[in-house]
Amino acid sequence: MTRRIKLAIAGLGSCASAIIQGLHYYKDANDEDIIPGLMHTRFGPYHISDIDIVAAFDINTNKIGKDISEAIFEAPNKARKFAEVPKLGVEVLPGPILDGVAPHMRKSFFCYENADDAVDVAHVLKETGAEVLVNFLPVGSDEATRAYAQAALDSGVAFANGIPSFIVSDPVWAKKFEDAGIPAAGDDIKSQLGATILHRVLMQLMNDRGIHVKETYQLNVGGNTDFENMKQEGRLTTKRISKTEAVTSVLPYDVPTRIGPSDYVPFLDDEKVCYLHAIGHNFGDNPINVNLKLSVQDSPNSAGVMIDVIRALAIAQDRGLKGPMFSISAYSFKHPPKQIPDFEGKERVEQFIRGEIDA
Amino acid sequence: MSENKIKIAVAGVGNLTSALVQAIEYYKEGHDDELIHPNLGGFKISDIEIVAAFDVDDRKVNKDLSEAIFAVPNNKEKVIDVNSLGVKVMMGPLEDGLSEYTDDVVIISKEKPVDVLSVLKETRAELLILNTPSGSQLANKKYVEFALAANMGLINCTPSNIVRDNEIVREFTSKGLPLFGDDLQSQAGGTVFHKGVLEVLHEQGIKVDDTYQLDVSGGLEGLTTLDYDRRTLKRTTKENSIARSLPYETNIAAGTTDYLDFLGSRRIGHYWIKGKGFLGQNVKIDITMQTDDGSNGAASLVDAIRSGKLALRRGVAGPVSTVCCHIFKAPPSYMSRTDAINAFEEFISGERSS
Repeated sequence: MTRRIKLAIAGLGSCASAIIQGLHYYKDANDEDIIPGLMHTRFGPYHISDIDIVAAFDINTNKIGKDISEAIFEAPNKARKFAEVPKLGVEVLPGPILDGVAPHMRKSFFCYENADDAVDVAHVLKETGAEVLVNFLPVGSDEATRAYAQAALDSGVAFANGIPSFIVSDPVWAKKFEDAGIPAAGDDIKSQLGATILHRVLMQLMNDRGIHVKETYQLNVGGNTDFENMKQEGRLTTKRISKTEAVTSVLPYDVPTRIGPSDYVPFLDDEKVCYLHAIGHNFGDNPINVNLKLSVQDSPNSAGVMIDVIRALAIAQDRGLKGPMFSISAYSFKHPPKQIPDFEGKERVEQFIRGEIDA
Repeated sequence: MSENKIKIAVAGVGNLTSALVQAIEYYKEGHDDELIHPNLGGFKISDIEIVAAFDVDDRKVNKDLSEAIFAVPNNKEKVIDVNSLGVKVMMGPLEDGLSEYTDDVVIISKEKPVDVLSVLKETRAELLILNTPSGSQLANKKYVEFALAANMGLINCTPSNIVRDNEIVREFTSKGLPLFGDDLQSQAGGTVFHKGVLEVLHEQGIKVDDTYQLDVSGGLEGLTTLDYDRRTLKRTTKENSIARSLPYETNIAAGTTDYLDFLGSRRIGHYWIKGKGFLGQNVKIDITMQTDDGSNGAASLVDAIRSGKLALRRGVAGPVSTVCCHIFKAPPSYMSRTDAINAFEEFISGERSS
């Protein structure tokens, strides 16, 4: 009999919606079967259905005060409904705004007015007995992310950072978690099969096969608030670093590269489209061209990974591990404290689950 | 022989001008099979003579045009060697010719702007071509005034509102001068191709729900359009132009999405169309198109210039609607793509005067 994992989420957007729907969609999944859409039905001792959501924070007046099961379908959330979620008995609480809402997003996010209305996050985490806090704030929420990370530190809760505001990959913050005896994973969640991992694997493959990459780009467009939020170039700096380093770190030489969220196309909703392009030289400096299009529902794509991260952190807690969890961070995030090639990263995660390595 | 020359002045010596200069040389002999109109109304491409050129970049100003077209930040590939033309690039008015993003890439010359009007008069240029960066509204306005004062026709390749500006149209009309614009449409570029595909789908009874066209390019034009306002200006003319090819409203997104310096003057467009056909079944189309930006624009420009000369000869006053509809993205009036092609041929043959 394993314990249950008590989960808290900061930012009840489409990614959170996909996680919460997934908890119910897969609650009866059989360990022995191959379950479409999951990397681990059981991750170590934990089945997906062992996760309970105990707290959620948002700044959207459509969501605050509502039961989580309803709030996840409020505008501007765009994640498709793929599961019926029963009433959970947990109401969404007003979290701190800080820089979580860009000026051009105040309306789209239905942001509440009075900053004093924010709850004391650390206090709520303690009261609800939360064990893992997942950060799913909008890209560019640097201050707000630090506020939630601090609340996790103050309340002894493990921290999974889904966005590219660097915490786990920042040595100063990593040490804070280490000193507090709390495990953490991050930064910037990778998708199950998203642009980053595809691009990384393609570059790795080209390099392994002796193809010299001459140029490459990755254009991403979408219609959810993640893309709307990122229209402001200023909020994009860390996102570009995170996405670009994830790809360029695979190659042992410099290549002209452009990667980024490229455009907001509202009618795409939660569909994300990625165009990958690479030109290389093979034997005799002859040209080779790769063009690839990826089209995917954005939010479930990240949820499929975060669901494993949550359970990895629970295992870390069970074993009394602290600070950055390197294997799960490298496999599941774009900007981990240590980059590891993906195939090796997967093996490390399995070793971690079996208890053969400690982080 | 000399009366068959078309004397033009160009404002902006970027990739488009580079392609134009190279085309004049390249088509002096042969290559007719690459052209729709080797001879347009009696004019060959090599009949075009650039008599004056203006720019603001230190690496171009005071250089012979044949060298300036290959100066950084231009990156249009060299197709042919061009001998010295005896035309020095002169410092033009800067005004708002640069965006904050191009600031780092363009080095402003310290020269004082020349007296553009006198140059235009002295060189006896007949047509002024605006090849300035997108969004150079104030600089373009100045050039428009110079063209009027020098009694020249004007070709506006930029998305600035000129041929759609009633005041400007009135002035050109009253002076009996022809106008062409706005926003040059590449010969086989993103816009015309997108329109063509949508028209075919419509003709065949497919209802288009969503469509987008996302372009990336490495020309300075791509960098200029990173500026949100300038991008919006450019997008609006492009999206409106595409929207007109369908008789109903649909979701359209079209425009330059990102600047990739390493592409040089290559432009890569990613197209997506989703529609419904018989029994409500989906039709989905994915297309990638790669072109050379400068050449693609110049192919249209050489036709616009030769049409300009025809219009001058015929004394056409104001916007030359057939040419505008066929060669530009934001013409003052609208014709379907196929009607515009036919009307353009009639204009050349003289069946239509404008």
